[in-house]
Amino acid sequence: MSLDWTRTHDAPDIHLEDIQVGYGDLSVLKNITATMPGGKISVILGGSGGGKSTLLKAILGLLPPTSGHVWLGDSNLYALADTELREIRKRMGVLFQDGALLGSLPLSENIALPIREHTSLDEETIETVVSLKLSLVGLAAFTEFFPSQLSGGMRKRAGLARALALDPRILLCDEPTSGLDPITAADLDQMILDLKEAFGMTILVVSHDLESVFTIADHVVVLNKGSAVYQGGPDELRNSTDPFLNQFLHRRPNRNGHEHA
Amino acid sequence: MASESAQFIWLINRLLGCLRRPITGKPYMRWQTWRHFAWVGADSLPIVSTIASCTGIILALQAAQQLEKVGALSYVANLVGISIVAELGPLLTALILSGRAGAAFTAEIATMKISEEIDALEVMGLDSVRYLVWPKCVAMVLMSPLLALWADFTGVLAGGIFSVMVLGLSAHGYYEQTVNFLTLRILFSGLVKSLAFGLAITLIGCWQGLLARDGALDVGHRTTRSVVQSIFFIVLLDLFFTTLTFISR
Repeated sequence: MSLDWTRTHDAPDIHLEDIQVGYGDLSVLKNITATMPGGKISVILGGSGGGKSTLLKAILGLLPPTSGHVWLGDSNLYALADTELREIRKRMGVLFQDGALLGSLPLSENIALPIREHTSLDEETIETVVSLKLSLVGLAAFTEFFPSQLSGGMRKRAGLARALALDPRILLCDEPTSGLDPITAADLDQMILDLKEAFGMTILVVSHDLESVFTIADHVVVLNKGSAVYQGGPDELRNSTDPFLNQFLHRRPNRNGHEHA
Repeated sequence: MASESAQFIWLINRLLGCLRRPITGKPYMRWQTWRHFAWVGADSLPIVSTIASCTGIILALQAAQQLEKVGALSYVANLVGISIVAELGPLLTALILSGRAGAAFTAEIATMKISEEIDALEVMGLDSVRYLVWPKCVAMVLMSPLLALWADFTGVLAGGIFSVMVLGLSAHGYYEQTVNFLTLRILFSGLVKSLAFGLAITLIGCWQGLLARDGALDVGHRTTRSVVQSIFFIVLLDLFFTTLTFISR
């Protein structure tokens, strides 16, 4: 199994090969084949219950597909040995919906945790890296704060700082702008764009925030009822004549027997 | 039920994996383990001491009522000693730990599970079992027997002080009677029991925490199940070990 991309500065493609994912007998994702190009921002768009978070879990290695493969660059995620998966995870950063910071640790320790686990850096260097990452997301003054003392937006930014702790080549974000006021949401979008510009990493964002999608996306995958109903650029998506996409993009309610949401 | 059993097997498998690697390779893991030592051990001392002392006095009172009828009041020491050291010291300590530590383990892990903190640990490449469960196991396996030993000491001491001050027994006589009657074998069987109790409480507590799925209600539900199951298994294990001691007497 090749792990070449984990040893270079390459930003790998994320490729889903005919995957089906479910919980028990319930199939949530059906026969999805998609490629999220390396070095670009891809957005998985879809309504609530459409399978976005399930797809993200499958890409994170937390929910094995019942069939099909998840490829990160040339690595088949679910065929990797534990040590190889560990190597891959060092090169992946994940921003969870509410940050998923460890509530028992202050911000500085939260960011330091993956660094301590995966490197042999001395305490002084770790401290420097932590304050660098927190400065990057504008939280340098909050190093000793606990997650519960921060606002939702700050927790997300702190989650982003932790996701960036090991300079990942793939960044995955679960609903980064949900629950945020428009200004904070726009800040976070800008931050994601800046990260792509500065580090050229592969970024995958799961979202249902249309404004955010059209601001940041280079590539969009739209899910509906567990199937990929659109893959392509944001401009083509805007001009699509597909009834579901039209309804979704123009926020039209279900009427006349349509059952799309 | 099948998926709950599968989760338990997964947990045991991961813990066995921890045995193959250094216990506390990284400094932050050492700190994590020390934190649990202090929390499970030192912080439990006041409640364990209080309950063991009261139990020692209760046993002395109960024994005195019966033994004075046959003029064998000096045997209060034997009865208090054997009851505390062989049975009640380890058992009461385990019950306290299941309510105090076991419930807290479940609530902590269940909350972390629901708020995706455990997923976050896994995707950061940290083994969530090594980070969260292993330090609790190490702390409980070491602290449970030590606390039981302390409960034995305080229970017997309190029973002794009470017997001397209220029942009028001589301090020297009580001491002699206790030391001559209690053997190392009795003490050791109690400590082995409490080690098993500690392990059972941790495994059940962490397992129930990992099973949490549906929000705050499930945290409460899992915590209750953890305490009830711990008490059930503590009593079963007690029966097993006591039978074993009886057979091999």
